[in-house]
Amino acid sequence: MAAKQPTQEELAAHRMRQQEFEDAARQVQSLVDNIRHDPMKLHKVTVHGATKTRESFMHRILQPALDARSLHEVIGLSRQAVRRMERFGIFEDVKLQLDSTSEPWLQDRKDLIDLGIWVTEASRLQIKTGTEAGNAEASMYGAMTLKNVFGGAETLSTSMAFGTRTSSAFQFAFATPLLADPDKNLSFNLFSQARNNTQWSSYEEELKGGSLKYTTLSPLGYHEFAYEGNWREVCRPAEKASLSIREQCGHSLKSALTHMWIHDMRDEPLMPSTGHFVRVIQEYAGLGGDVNHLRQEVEAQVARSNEAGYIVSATVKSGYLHSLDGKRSKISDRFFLGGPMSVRGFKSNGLGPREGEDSLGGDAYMSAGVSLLTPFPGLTTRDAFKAHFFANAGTLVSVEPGQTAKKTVDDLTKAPSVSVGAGIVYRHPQVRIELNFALPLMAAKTDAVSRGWQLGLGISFL
Amino acid sequence: MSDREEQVISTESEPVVEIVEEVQPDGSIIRKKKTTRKITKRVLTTGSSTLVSSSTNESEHASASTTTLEESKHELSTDATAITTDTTTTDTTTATATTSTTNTDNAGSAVDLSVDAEQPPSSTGRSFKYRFFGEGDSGNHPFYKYLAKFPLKQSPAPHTRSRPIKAILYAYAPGWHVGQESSLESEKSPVGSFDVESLKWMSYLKFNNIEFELKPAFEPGMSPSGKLPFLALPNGSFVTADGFESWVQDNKSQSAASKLDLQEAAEAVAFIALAESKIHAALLYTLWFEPSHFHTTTRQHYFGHYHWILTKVLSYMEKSNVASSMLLTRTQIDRELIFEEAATAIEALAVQLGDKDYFFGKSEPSGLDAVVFSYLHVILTMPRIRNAEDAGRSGELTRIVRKHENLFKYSQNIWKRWFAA
Repeated sequence: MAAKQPTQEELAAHRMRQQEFEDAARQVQSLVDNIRHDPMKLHKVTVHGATKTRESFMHRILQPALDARSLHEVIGLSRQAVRRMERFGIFEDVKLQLDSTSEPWLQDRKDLIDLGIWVTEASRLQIKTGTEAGNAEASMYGAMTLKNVFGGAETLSTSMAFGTRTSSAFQFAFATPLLADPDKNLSFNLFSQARNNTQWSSYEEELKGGSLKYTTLSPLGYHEFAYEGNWREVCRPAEKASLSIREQCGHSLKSALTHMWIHDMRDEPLMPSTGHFVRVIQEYAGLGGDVNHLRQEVEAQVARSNEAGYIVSATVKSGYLHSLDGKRSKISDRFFLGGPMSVRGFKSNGLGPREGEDSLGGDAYMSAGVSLLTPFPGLTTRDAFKAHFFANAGTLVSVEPGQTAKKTVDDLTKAPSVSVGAGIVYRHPQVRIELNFALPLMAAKTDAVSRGWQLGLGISFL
Repeated sequence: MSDREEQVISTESEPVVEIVEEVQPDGSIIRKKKTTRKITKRVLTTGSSTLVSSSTNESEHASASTTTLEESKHELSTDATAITTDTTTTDTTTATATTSTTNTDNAGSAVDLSVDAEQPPSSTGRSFKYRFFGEGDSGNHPFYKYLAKFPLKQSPAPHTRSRPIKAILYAYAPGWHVGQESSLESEKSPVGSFDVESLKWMSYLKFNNIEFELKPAFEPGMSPSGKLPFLALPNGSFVTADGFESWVQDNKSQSAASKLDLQEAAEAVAFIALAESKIHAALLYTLWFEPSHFHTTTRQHYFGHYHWILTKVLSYMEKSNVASSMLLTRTQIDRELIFEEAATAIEALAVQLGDKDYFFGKSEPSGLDAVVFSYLHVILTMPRIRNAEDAGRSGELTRIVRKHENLFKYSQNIWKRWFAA
């Protein structure tokens, strides 16, 4: 209670303390300011409490600080080093202290300074279990992570998950930062997955493979370069599976190089109110294996808002799969479109070429959406709730090998599926939830339409 | 009706009972009880590729005039309606129905038969979901009628696949391609098979004059039973090994395939069992456990369509499957014993056949001929392996069969008459 209603004296005392602190800070600041450009060198760096971390690793992090030539630089560079250490996630707490040198024979050298770093290392073993819901899928998972395995912020993790769409997934991963830089990461993955696509395509898919991935930051954004080798098997067609799905059954081996570039300038990914976002994924498959194609996917989003809480966002997504060996694409590589997080007003993956109840996927797609988010009547004070009006359009077509670009473009623009609707959006810290009443305006004869209420739960929406 | 398959699926929904109260001018209340029951009958006809779905809505109205609060009791009996639906084999479908309904005297019966009729929903049967979430049931509520208008504009389907006219046989095909006859075959349309089971189906279908389209397939996983071959019928259903024999019996034309009498049929069963246990084992041994044959031929034919890594991995997996399946019936895989037994079985078949065209001296082939021919043809057309390591071991089974000139002639004649033509 006392904390809530401080008395006058307490307030005065607090103000006094604050004043004292500010005065002291100002004094130190002016002191430092006076000598900031004086020549100053780090004489000794002592790291306390880093028992598991390799010395060479720490050395690499602290190396830049040793090049400091003035007090100003010493402070700046050692702070940078500490920030870098914190970003690896292997220390719970990092404190630093600058002090005059302790060696008696150097006491009179005012241009030498000692840096002391006190760290508390985080525990090496981390075990997580839980349930997750997102991207129209619910799953439970368990993961075990060994951090800082070889003392260089390397992580070794194994995880498994069981869910509605990914029936089971096992993964083993080893990741290490390169050159003690938290932005440059090299990781090696082994995985085995079983995907259940029976809801829209009447088949299951088993996937086993490995990948080598390098991620880095450039001034343009986030980059990911990967090589991936996959053994895929389309299997267990459902009883009602159509012949086109059955004919897709079988094994295939894919070996591909991928590059992903993400440029994200939005204020937040779930319900952005300002900024823009671009993602480009390129894949070349054909280094061995029996799949030979180029696969491109581009996504762009822009959002604008005003003070009254009205947000307009527009998203465009497009993909193209180009066969390089004249063979028709396999269903595992194709694109799927439609659903509450894609083109609303249609069932999940319910657009494009279909046979019976099965979506066959397509080789080229385009989809676009415009959303207007307004304060929800009655809930104007709550930012997490918004009323939602949208218009979506999308088209997914298959491309015969050797088909002219003109025909592909014609097919894509000929008959888009269009829907409009309105609803409510709730932004949970981890996930965006939408309940919309959607009406398809234009659709192909075979499209799986879903008129009426549609619930969407996920991270990335059209 | 004999040359096409007919499947009748009759579904009967739960009767929906509605009680409607009407106040009469004289103050009494008439309770009307209305029973609506929907009987849907689907006739699937393969020969004509028509699908007729007829639905009968049978409603009964029973009304009784009662005084104010007294409960009215109705004895309502609805006898099952007998509906016979006949479809013509032409594209236009006509459906006639004769319905006999016995009801209480004052009940008026209304039978209305229409193709693809939707059940008019009763006002009480409207579910929560229907009322609040437009999906699912479509109804006569003005809002949902309006909703059903969407999408306002429909464009043609981006992918269409025409219904097949004939049954499609998905089977390992074509034959070995190296050997006596099949090398002469044109490459255009696949014919024959290197797989005994596939060839068995083909010859049995041909013997019974059932037309089919052959599609080469190498992926057992695509079959509903997990095994090749299988038949995809024009009506969308599948025939696997379990229903094959009865399906053929239902669909064959009368003239085809000779009928065996009871004793012959029993003997045929014995010979089929002999072939499928003794000759089969020797064939499996040759295909999978003679290293030269396995590496140069078997692997290429069963898994050659995959990437070479998968070909290797999958063929070794299949090899171990074959081994464990063989070990189900024997304690060890003993080459000498297997070939000895096969030789005895083949000799028995040769003796039984004699110099006749078909088994039991028939003029037309029977099921036994389909089985024996399949084994003989696959064995006789197997590519010959010529290398020092093999030293003729892969050809041993072929040599055993070649000893019997009548079996060789028999196999050749059947191939010429039924396949090569």
